[in-house]
Amino acid sequence: MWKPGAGSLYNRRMPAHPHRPPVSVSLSLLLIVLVSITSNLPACQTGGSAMDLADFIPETLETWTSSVDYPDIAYDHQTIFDYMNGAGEVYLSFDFRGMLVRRFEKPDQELTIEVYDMGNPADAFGIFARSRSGADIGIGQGSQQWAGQVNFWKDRYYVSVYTLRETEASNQDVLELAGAIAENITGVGQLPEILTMLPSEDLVEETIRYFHLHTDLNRWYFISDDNILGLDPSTEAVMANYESGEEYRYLLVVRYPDRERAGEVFTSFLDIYLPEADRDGAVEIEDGLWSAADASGAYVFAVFDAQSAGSARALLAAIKASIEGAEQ
Amino acid sequence: MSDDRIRTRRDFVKETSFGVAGMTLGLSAARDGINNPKRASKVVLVRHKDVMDEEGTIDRPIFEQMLDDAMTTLFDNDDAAACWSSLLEPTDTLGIKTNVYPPLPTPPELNEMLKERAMAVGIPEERISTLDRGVLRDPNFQNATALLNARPIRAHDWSGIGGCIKNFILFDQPAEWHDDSCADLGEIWNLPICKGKCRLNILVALTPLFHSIGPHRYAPDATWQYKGMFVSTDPVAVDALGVKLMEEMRKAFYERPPRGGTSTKHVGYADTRHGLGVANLDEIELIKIGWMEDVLI
Repeated sequence: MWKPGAGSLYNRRMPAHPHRPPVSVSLSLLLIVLVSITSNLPACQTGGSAMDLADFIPETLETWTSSVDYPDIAYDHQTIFDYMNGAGEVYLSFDFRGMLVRRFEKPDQELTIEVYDMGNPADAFGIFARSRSGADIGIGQGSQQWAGQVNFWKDRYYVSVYTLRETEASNQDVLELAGAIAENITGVGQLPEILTMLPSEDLVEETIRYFHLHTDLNRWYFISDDNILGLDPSTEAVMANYESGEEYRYLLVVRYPDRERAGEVFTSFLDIYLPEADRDGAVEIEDGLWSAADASGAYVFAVFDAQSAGSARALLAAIKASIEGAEQ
Repeated sequence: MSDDRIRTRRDFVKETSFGVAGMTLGLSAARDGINNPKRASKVVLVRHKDVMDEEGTIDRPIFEQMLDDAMTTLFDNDDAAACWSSLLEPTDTLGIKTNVYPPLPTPPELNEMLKERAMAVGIPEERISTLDRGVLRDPNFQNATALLNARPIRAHDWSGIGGCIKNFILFDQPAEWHDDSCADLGEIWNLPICKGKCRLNILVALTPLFHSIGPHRYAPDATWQYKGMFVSTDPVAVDALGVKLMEEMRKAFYERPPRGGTSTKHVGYADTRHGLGVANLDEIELIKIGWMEDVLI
């Protein structure tokens, strides 16, 4: 039973430092026997699609055993919330079709594989790019390793392999297993076409984000809680950073279903966000940080955080030339 | 509603000093009367350098003392037991709403401490439940006359922050509350099963997960041994401070701090739409005790 204590412990100032545990990745070899066969899905809820996803995952791993407590489970639009609660909405903001979860275990260790059918390669890239932050590690069509997990995309699939107890050995297992799954996915997907519009000079590759909704836009650069760019599932948007010296510009490009809608949105956006600007004018909206916007055809594009009006206009001109070149 | 016009980054830059936290909170100084001078919420932030070791093992006696000191400070009473007696009654049926997210659960030590303090007030053990999932099926939660709310702070890929407000989502069907980045989570607190029952909110900040690396992901790299907790009767105030703390951690951690963030508008809306508490940092009385180095807010 708790008894009330007396006095405070807070009489002295003590040093502190943030704790940032190191993440190390072992490159030592570990043999993993990979046998890719179709498995039974006792809790399968999406039929054939889940069976297809299971085809990609090895059923047995050397040194690991299939989890007895957690057999394969498939999730769909409705049931994804049973697996990850509100985070499921992130997948539903893309063309999510279904997912499969398989777990392996060994004493005091668990390894989880999630394979997501994102409906199309563009959205598989989109969900992958949403969380990437570092260099590609060469698995599938885009990949990263961080904190005991490997995420990659290939074809229309997004795959995550992870352990919660990170060790050198488990990191290596995760790495090799992800590689094996990528090999089993034989299709290759096309990157979203809108990405090809991005000017290459000063582009920071790993900052390229592809999305549809304004909630994602605000994740990368907050503009407004209101959806002033009219983003919805029918729109495609890409945001990327351009780094040059001390300058770190943001470029947003949105493609609308047709030029009429793009024109309406552009007019409205200028009116709400950059009313001082003429059609290609730049506006200093924070100290030393300039924004500018323009439109062409079905596209609206904007530059944020340029260090000068000229810099904002230069990037704007580059993306406009790229779009108009592609449309010719 | 005093002003319905669309607000953008430019308005926040001009009107507030909250930074990205203010933007993603869905707040504006001019909106919805949140500058009402009569409003105020008190929050105690207590920290201790030695409450846990590098591996995260909690020193229970220090943790106990932190809780006691937070209570005596919050309620301006040197007697911690008296503070608990002012919150709970022996006749109460109590639900301690915890959180079981595997990588970052409510510390079991805290669950035990809260239960022990409730029992010290005189509530019999059989009328106390400590749960996360399953609260709707639990008789003590179904019949609760009092609730305590305790959970760790973490970045969340859809709602921006997993904090004290969101911890009540299991008092209903969670999927019903996901619209618009969980904007109206504050309304859950008006459901009969919990309305007016929560006596205390503890937003645990021992190792905040200050950055989300993807849906339902946990990254030890994005945690910080802050070794603290926010304690208040106001769930909105502790969450608003939690949002600010995560922003400050991102600023300190990253060479180039983010210019956006997953919306935490449900915290602001819990104030402006649902009247649950105070989200405006200027109206929150924050009392900091204990370890002050790298306190950040």
